[in-house]
Order: sequence, then C-alpha cells, then structure tokens
Amino acid sequence: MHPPVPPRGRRGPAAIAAACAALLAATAASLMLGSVHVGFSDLLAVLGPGGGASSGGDSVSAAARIVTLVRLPRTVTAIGVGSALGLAGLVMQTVFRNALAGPGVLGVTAGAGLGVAAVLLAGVGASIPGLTAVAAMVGAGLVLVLALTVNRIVGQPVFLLVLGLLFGYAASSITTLLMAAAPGEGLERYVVWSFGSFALPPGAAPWVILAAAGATTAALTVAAPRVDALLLGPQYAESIGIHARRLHGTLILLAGTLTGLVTAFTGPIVFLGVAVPHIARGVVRSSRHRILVPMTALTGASLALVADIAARLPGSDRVLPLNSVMALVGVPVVLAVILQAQPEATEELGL
Amino acid sequence: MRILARGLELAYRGGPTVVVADRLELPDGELVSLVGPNGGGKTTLLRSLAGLLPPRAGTVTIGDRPVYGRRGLSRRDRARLLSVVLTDSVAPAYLRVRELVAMGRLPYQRLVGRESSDDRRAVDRALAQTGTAHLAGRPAGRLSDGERQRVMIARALAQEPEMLLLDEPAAHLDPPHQTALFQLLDTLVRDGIVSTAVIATHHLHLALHFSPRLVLVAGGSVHPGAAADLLESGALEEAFLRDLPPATAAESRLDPRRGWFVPSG
Repeated sequence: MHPPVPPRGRRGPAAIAAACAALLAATAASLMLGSVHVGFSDLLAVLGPGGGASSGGDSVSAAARIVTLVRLPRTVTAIGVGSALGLAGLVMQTVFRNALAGPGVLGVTAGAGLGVAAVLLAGVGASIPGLTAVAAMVGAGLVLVLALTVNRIVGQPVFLLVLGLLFGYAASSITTLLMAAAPGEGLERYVVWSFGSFALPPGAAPWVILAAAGATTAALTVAAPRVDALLLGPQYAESIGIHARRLHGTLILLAGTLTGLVTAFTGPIVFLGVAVPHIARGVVRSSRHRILVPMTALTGASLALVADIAARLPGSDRVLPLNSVMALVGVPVVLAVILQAQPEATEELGL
Repeated sequence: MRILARGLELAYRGGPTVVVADRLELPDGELVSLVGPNGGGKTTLLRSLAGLLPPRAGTVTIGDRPVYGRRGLSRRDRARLLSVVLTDSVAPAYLRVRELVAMGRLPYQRLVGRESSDDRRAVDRALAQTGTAHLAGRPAGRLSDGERQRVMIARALAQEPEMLLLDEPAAHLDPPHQTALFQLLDTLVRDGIVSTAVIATHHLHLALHFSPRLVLVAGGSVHPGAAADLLESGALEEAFLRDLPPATAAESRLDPRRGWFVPSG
C-alpha cells in the first residue's frame, strides 16, 4: 500500500543553528530598519559598552535615542511575543491533537478582547495607563479558569474546543454590542488595539514577555518526553504512566497564560500561533517536543520580527496593521511548508 | 503474576453500571480471550483490568498489589506491569516507528528522559520480538494495518510489562494476518516475554483455538470458563444470539468446530 520510500533525514541541530542565525539577523534588522535607518556600526556603538546606557541628558545621539527608547523595546517584545504565541500554539495543537488549534482556541484571546473593549468603550481606558492590559488579563484569566474547570469536570479535550469556540463567539458578540453603543474615541482606540502592535514603551513589559517565553521554552524542552506521550492520545499517555488530565490542565494553563499576557500588551495576534508550529515541524521534520519546542520558539521570534519590520514600511513614516501583515507574511510560508512536507505530515493535517 | 478482580462494578462518569464481575482471575502463562457481542462490556472490562478505568466498586489486584485506590500502584509502577494496545488510531506527523516504540520506555526514565542503553536495548528487543525491526526507520503513519498492529505491540512490549492487554487488535486485518497476530501473542506468552496476554476479540474461531480459557462478557456480566465448557453448555452461543431479533437468532447457530455462526438447518 505504501511504497517503501526512505523517509527524508532529520535536520535537528543544524536547523536549530540556522534558526538562531536567522533570529540574530532579524534582530539586527529590526534595530536598524524603520523610518530612520541606523547603520550597523552605529548600532554596535549604541549597544556596546559605554553606548546608550551611559549616555545621559542632551548628549544622547539621535540614533541611540531611537534604538534604546523605540526599537529595542519593540524588538524585545516581538521576540517574546513571537516565541510565546508559537509555543502556545504548539501546546494547544499537542493537547487537542488538532493541527488547526492555536492560542485563540480556548477563547482566551476573545476574552482578552472583551476585557479591553469593556474598559476602552466605557471611556475609562484612556485615563489610566496600563488599565487595558489589566482588563485584558482579567478577561483572559476568566476564560482560562472556566476552561480549566471544565477540563477538571469533564476531562474531554474535544469538549473544551467546542466550549472555546462558543465562548469566542459570545465574547466577540458582546464586544460588537459594546462597540455599537460606544462613544467615538473609545471605539477608535479599540480598533487600534485590535490591529496589534509591538510598539510598547520602554519598561518592564517587553522583558517580562521575553522572560515568560524563555522560561516556557526551557520547561517544555525538559518535559518534552512526557508531552510527546500526549501525541498518542490520553489513553495511551495514561498507560505509560502520565496523568493525562493533569498534564492537559497544566499545559492549557501555561498556553492560556502566555496568550493572555501577550494579547494584553500587543493585541490579538493569533495567526502566528497557528502557523509557527507547522513551519517548525516542517523544517525539523519531527513531532518530538525536545527539538520542536526550541525550534518553534526561534521560528516564532523570527517571523514576528520580519512581520513587524514589514509593517513599519522602512523608510516611510507610515505603519500598517501588524495583524494583517502577519497573516500576509505567514500564509505563504505555511502553504509552502505544507506543500513541501507532503508525504510525512499529511496524517496530522488530515489532507 | 496473576490478576484478580473482585466485586467489580464498572461505569463511566455519572453513567449507569455497565459491567459487573464478582470474581475474575487471570492466571499466569495464558493467552486469555475476552469474547462477547458488541456492547457487552469487553472494552470496559479490559480498560479496567489495564488500570485505565477506576471501578465504581470492587478491587483489581496484580500479584498482591492493588491497581486502584490510595494504596494502589503509582502510575509509573502500573505502567511497568501493564501495557495496552488500544483501538485509538495513532500517527503523529513525522513520528518514526522506532520513536513510537521508544515512547514505551517513559515509565523507566527520569524527568529529563534521556534514552539510556537499557532503553535502547529494550526497544531493539521489542522490535525483534514482533518482527518489526526492518520498519524502525519508517514513518509511523506509513504502515499497513498488519504492520501497525505489530508496531503497537512492540511499543507495549518496550514497557517490559508482566501483562499485555489488547483491545480488538485483529479488527482490520485480513484472515492470515489475524491468525499471525494470535500466533505472535501466543509466542510472547509461551516464551515468557509477558506472563499473560489478554485480548478482547470478535474472532471467536481464533479465541477458541488459542485460548484454553475464555472470558465471556455479555450484557454487562462476566463469565470466565474453559472454552470447551462455554461451548458445550451453549452459553457462548446464547450470549451472542440474545441481542439478535428472535427470527434471525432462530436461524443461526454456532458451529463449535469452526467457531463461526452459520445458518441453522
């Protein structure tokens, strides 16, 4: 039935090394490109010892100001969000054993959106800094608690998927209702939030996102064999000693928290989370999490940076909605990976 | 190690009791077949014996250790004694046969889960015992039905269990492959690779041939017995025909020599 075609070889360590190199290049590009071009030597001068950090007051050069105050936080955010959403997507795809699962699958993103809509459209979001982020996290957290409760009671992942879908619809509907009833300024702010953006002000948030993504990468890489067991389904996982429902719950909590965190700060950038694991799988040609987790984190970070650079329209003062650019960058990449990977990946994709 | 179930009442979450077993003993050194009509409770009983479905009441013990309850086996210890081949389809993208089989080593690995030389030896042995060594590098999704079942048995053997429990492993196989699968299980038991194999099956003729002792599971009750006795008393025939419309049942009978239901008269 199946011709004994030798499967193509793995590309583990080499792929990781290449992904690291790509991420470094994208990081440099992200710091250099924009409305004002910063040369590579200037960049090294700013980031090097005695650069941006030590300069105080009026002596700060324009380049240093742009890099340290605008592009560095933005780049750190992109790297953190890209890896976090990629990992969240990977975890959801593993837990639900469904290739189309992603970070938004539980309705966490919709919950965050509802939280943001509630404060912005009520007209209070503008006056208190950081309130939208808090509201988004509360919204995402409520959805997550609901999902985990259902997981505890029912223990059937499929049920959660349906619930997430329904909750997503409900939250979007309420958001639309709020938008219809809202004053103009709040509406505009909500729409801008929903475009998605990595342009965070300098501060703790970009580094918190990056740290969360890094810690998750480490934890999942260590726990990889137990997570692999879930690929066989809950019954087989139980039979090799895994507490499947508890591991599902832990992973859902992890993915949901990451999604809620990044959505709160950067808006609903969900496409990334569905696409990145497929790209990573296609590149390393493996479903094993020990290699797939770091690859997903690196790929997500690079893809987020590339999309963000494109959205900035280097050399111009205009900025495109990140969400749209992300999809336009990502869709051809995913298509190419799926088409190229054909024989071995098809079972999971259901093609 | 013998497995012993006592006062067993099995049910799914919130549902009615679906299987009751007062006493069921599965001795060492045998290939035991669970037979019975569709919906009779074979899979439920198998899952409970495998440690995957806590009973509503009663106990399951393997050797002298309870499988369930507060003093029961830990998940890891259970996975070293009992392993399963289920009907769930399994083919994650890009997963190779060897990797799939190696997943059976999880109960022997620490948190970080590096493959030890013991692990590698156990995987090689499992592949050899099931005649699947030549498939090791193949994607797990690119196997024929017969190959896949052997690979899933290899995965179960990599756990180095005392007891192997299989749910309908011959369901999608052609007749010679069905027989080959039973022969493989028979060999595994005879050679002492596992001390007992329990197989839930609809292939009555193979069950009668390979299992001196059957467990008839029908209508939620469990009747263990020697194959010859269950045949002679008519219990086997009656259990299968009970669910059929009376007119159809009247026209069928179990041919005891062939293990097939044939038109009567």
